[in-house]
Amino acid sequence: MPVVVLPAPLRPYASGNKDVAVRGETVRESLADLLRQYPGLEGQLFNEDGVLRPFVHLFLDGEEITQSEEADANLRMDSRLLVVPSIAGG
Amino acid sequence: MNKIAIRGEALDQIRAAAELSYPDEGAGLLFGETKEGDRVVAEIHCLGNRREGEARRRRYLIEAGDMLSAEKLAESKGLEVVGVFHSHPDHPARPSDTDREWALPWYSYVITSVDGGEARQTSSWHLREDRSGFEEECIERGVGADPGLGPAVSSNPGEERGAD
Repeated sequence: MPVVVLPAPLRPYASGNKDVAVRGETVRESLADLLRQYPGLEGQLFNEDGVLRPFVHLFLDGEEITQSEEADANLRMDSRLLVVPSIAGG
Repeated sequence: MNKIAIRGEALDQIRAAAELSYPDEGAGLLFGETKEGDRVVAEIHCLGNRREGEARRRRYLIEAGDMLSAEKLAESKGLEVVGVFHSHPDHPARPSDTDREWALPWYSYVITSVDGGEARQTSSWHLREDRSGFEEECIERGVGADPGLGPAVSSNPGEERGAD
């Protein structure tokens, strides 16, 4: 099964897990399954409009995918989808 | 108030990096450990501020690619990324609305105010669960050096910002 890899700040919302096995053939489906397993992640990953927060980046099998690509990108059974934050402020 | 222990050399390097970045905002990552709620920062990882032009005076950005590389580096040292440090040129060492909008839970956010090029206050904060604001953390300056730890500062090759 594909695996979503969470950064340290989000692991408390996934019962402390770094790697979460997910069901889904696309990134969209896999993220939906991630939220089904751990609903507490939704507010951290998505804003009130259901859009990924701007600091949330996705790396699929080592390559960053843009938000326009992400929804329908296909996953393999051994795919690793990394959630990587950018950090900003000022 | 939560506590965060920062190795003395690392704390000095955070403040030095803030002064060297002035009048721009400087930024980097904190490498350390979290055990039973106590956080220890062993070293810092200086990074270039990816904002461009005048925006660098009031905003900082660490891109996801840099984060990914840093996480791997921290892991190779037996550490993890436990937070972020950045500076506020001619501005108080308190989180702004922009800091809150971009913050993640769990990380410690260490902020240093720099007035006229001189580092003043250094404070640490973590985001509240409901994202409404920050809670301040008490910084404990670590004493001595852990013989198992390497230098207190690392940086991306070709992006030497702050003191080495």
